[in-house]
Amino acid sequence: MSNAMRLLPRWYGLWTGTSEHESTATMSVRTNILPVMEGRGFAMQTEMFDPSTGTFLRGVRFALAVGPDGRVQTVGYSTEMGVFGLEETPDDEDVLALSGVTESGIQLNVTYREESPDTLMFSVFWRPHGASLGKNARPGLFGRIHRRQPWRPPAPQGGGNPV
Amino acid sequence: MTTPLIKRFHDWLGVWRGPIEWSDGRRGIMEFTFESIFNGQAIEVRTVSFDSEGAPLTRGWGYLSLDRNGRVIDNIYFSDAGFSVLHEVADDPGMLSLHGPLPGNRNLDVAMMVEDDVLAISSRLGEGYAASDARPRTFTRMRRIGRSLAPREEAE
Repeated sequence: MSNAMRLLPRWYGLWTGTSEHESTATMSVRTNILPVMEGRGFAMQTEMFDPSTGTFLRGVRFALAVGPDGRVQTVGYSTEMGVFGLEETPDDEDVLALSGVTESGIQLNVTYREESPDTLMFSVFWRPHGASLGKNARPGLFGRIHRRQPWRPPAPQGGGNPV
Repeated sequence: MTTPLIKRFHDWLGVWRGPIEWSDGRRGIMEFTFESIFNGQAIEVRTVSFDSEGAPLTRGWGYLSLDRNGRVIDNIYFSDAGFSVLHEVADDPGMLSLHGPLPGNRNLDVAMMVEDDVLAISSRLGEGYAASDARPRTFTRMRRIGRSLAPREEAE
């Protein structure tokens, strides 16, 4: 079983914390991890905002599923990178590692590491596709988030009138 | 402030449901949900189809956004087709036509339109470079069953 399929179910729920970006000050982070597509996939929804004003700064959403060829991949959108598709890559057993090239030609590497059952560390590297990572490369985005509540099914949406 | 994306697709936002037919004779119910995210920078698209007893047949997920030229780019996953990035191709006004590659030398064409509060979608799978009318197709006409999912300021 892939790390994603094993780790994500135990990460369901709301996580909050802070992140550092290479060009901005500390941001607050809210990440929601939930099952989607009748449990056959997972969604990660992250928003980053100014901790003092609450102003939305960056966001990324993706769904992760097993494709017909058996590979674990994502379909996603980032306010910074646009649409992207990543593929799970092998890593330590407590790490979710994703890698791919965005539509705009950016090589993107994302990792989530379980620091403790209630703390995740994440890092995001990006660089032009084909460029070397460099000896002293640092993540473009780094953060630590803590579990805020266990996952539970969302309340039904109002206003629907199924036929 | 309404984004160009939401300005174009505001009438699509919400939950839609209706019958779907596959070219191999299967029938079911298709449900599409379009939700504005990140202040209208993208639209999250969630799909599910199910049989007459409600058992799921297919699932899908995706993100609609605009490229630098203002054309639609659709990053999608369909359980029966896989992952793809579809790009808008020219078509009649009001019609959204998308084309993109799939793994295994296949490709996917999707045409979507909202008219008179009906969302019509057809899709066609292709393989290789040969054009053939035998390519698997789907067709669905859905009616809105849920409220618009645009934030209040975007709906005004």
